[in-house]
Amino acid sequence: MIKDMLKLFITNRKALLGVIILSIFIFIAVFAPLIAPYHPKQSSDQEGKFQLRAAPSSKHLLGTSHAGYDIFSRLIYGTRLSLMVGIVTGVITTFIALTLGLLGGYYGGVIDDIISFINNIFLVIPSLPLIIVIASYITIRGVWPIIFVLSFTGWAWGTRVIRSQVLTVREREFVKVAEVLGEKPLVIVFREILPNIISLVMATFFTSTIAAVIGEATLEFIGLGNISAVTWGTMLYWAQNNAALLYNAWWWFLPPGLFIGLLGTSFALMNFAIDEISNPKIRKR
Amino acid sequence: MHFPVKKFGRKEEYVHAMDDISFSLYQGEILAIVGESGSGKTTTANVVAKLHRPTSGEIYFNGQEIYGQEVRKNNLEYRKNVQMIFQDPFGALNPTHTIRGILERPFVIHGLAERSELEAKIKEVLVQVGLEPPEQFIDKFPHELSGGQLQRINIARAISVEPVLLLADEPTSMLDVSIRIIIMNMIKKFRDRDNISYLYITHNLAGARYIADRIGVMYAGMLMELGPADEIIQNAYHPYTQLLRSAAPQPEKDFKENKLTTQGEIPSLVNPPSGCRFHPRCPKAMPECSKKLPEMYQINEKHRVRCLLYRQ
Amino acid sequence: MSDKLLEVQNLIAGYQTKMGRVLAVNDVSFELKKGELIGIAGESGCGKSTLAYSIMNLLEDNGAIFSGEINFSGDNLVDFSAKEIKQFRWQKMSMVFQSAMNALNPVMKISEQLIDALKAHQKGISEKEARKRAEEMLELVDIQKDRLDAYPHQLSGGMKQRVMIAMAMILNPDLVIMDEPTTALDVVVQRNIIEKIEDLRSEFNFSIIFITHDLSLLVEISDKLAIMYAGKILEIGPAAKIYSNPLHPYTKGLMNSFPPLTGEIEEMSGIEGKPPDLLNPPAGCPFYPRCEKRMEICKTEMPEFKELENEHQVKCYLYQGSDNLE
Repeated sequence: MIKDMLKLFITNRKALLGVIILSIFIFIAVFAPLIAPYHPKQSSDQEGKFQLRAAPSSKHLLGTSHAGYDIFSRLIYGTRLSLMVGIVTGVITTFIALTLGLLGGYYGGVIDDIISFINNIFLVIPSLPLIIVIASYITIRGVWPIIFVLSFTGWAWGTRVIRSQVLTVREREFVKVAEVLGEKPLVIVFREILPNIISLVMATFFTSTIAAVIGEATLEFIGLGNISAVTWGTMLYWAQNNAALLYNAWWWFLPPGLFIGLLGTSFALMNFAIDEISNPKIRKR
Repeated sequence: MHFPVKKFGRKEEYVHAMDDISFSLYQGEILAIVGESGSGKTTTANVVAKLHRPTSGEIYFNGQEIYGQEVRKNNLEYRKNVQMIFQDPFGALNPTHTIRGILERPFVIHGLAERSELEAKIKEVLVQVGLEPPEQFIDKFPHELSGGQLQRINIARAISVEPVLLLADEPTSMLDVSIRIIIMNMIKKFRDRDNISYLYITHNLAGARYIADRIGVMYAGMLMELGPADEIIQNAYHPYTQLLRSAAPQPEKDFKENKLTTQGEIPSLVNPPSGCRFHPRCPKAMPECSKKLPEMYQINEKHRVRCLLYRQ
Repeated sequence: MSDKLLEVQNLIAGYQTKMGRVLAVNDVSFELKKGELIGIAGESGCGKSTLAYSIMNLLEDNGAIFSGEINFSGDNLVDFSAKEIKQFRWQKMSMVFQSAMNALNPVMKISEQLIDALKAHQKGISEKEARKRAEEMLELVDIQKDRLDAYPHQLSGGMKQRVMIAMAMILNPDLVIMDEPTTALDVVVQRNIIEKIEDLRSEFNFSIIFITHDLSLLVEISDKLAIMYAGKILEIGPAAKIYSNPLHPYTKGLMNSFPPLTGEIEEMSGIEGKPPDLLNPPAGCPFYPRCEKRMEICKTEMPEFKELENEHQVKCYLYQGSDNLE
């Protein structure tokens, strides 16, 4: 089953494109020191200080910032944090959503009532204001608080979707057969139900990762993150603070925006593919 | 037995899916429960399978109340003794597992085989249900097999724990007609060989007559008539059984020969009719039928019927 | 012109899929007289529904009639343009679907749906006349007038199916195709509807193609019976003849799959095995792998119909040489 999925994933054009884009980003993140010509916080070399706010040149592919940092190098290094925050948050939210969804959906009763109640509250509260409010109360500045805030606000949608799917799978006859056979509840959850919602879990992971990448950029952009960190979001923050738009310095604000979009697209493409793979009706066309 | 149903406003109402059903099932006997959809026949099987808890009433299995303390403590033992075959052969098999993955579970759960013996055991049950050679099936996924083959897998899984009682909920109704008899014969074969008792749920009167020793007829949650299979069909006492009988296709007769005795459909089970549940449709209804709920009256030693016509 | 209404000749139809052509209907021929009921019996996937959809010209996008003729009182429907067939359909022939209960639009009243069907084909009919006709039709299928303005969900399964029958008959067609019209219903309701269909047929004298897997029901109601397997009709003839003297081994197997309600309970056998894959149909007789009486020739050759006794025809080498029954 999982082998089949992988095979389909590679033969599906959209999925393949998504995987390729993501692999490139991972490659960039891992080998950032080898790709970037300078350290992201380096503002001079043997030839002396870098020019401030320089336009693209052969020495600085995407120019320099107001502090004289090489923008291209920052873009490359920024991949590390943006990708890390996205994937870690995606894993955490998916894990929470899966746990709560399985618990509520399979056991039902009071457990489900409580989970659904909290779930509904989180679904109703608009998430961006909530993120901003929470983030502004957290005094520690850094990556982990951001991951915490994004995970805390991001689990509700996935939980709702997974729970309802578990509810339908739970009513399928093979689950009843397992009960009649004397299978233990945990075995039923992990052996009978989980394999049938794997594609949904993957979809939840992809969508919450996209949301985290964008959420991280948003927080950093409005200055609620750690502004000294090197991420695409802080790059946008500094670009905005230094009126890059006004000076028409496209090399400063366009590349990070583009990268955020591309990373989001790669996950979205894989998500589409999951839809196609798990829904045979779409696959045929 | 009643079942609670939650309605809007959380006021509990009861769906009388099963009401005052009492019958016993003997070892090695096939008892067919016949009824239309909504008659409560599937609920009966689910209650015995411990998938639904009845609101009242008792079910004894080998002398022990199945929802009582004793059985709850030894749940696994009850599970080993009572197995179920479902209607939809495909739905009853997890599409993400291979046949091997599906058929090894009963042995693992009940500790009936060592790891090293599993493969041999699985092949053995595959052969027993006529899937030969077993090597050809053991590593297939459910979607690679036909409905008839899948139902054999379901039977194999159920018999592999050597149950005492098998609940069969319309096991052939979703299969191709040419396969149905084969599956029925297989069910009979295991009865003859292992002395398994069956509660065989069906809507097909002719099929029930073919397979069962006794037939119970259910209507709107109540058992209306119970007796030896052939007698129920050739010599039906209850007007509802007579109606079912006249509705069943009979190729040996010309169509015009048997006309339906009555019309209408099964009533809602949330508010069932007062008195005899069949009285609004009954061609022989008497005034008191709407007031008095008939008991099961004894016709002869083995034959009981719930109808005021046969009150002694 | 005799009283022949429909003549299907060497019809080949099926679906174009990625893996190739699926010949769901493979060389099917039969005739239907006015007022006659032909039963088409077969198991799932034997092509009986495709046959119905071909005659109605309602095949899905990837389906097509590859060759053959469908003569309907003199016109060959296969040659008709989409526009012509649209005029023809429902007016002259209509259909009651297997999932008729879902074929009704849940947000439209029964009356609107019936009247729409009328207006689409009878231009210029007034609202009042249309409504009157709708009422009459419902009355015919034993549904009271006051139910005319009900929504489908307010009706029971059996009533919805009767509404579908009323809808199929509202334009007085010469032919109604019924594709498993009672399969989803309970036995008593099924009986009820079939009695209704029989009453209507004797009153209005239209022809019916009745498709189902329930052979015991078909034998009882059909004038003529066709046994279909893997896209082919293997045996065709008067229903009573086929019941009393089934010839083809497949028909015999089917007959041996329905336990009787009366008489001795005898051990029955059914038919082992499964139907062939229609993507790669076998060269000879499609029943060859499951047949107990197969011969060498059956593997590679498929015989033509052989008529034994009047109108009782069978495609089987067991009967090719002889002129009389075994």
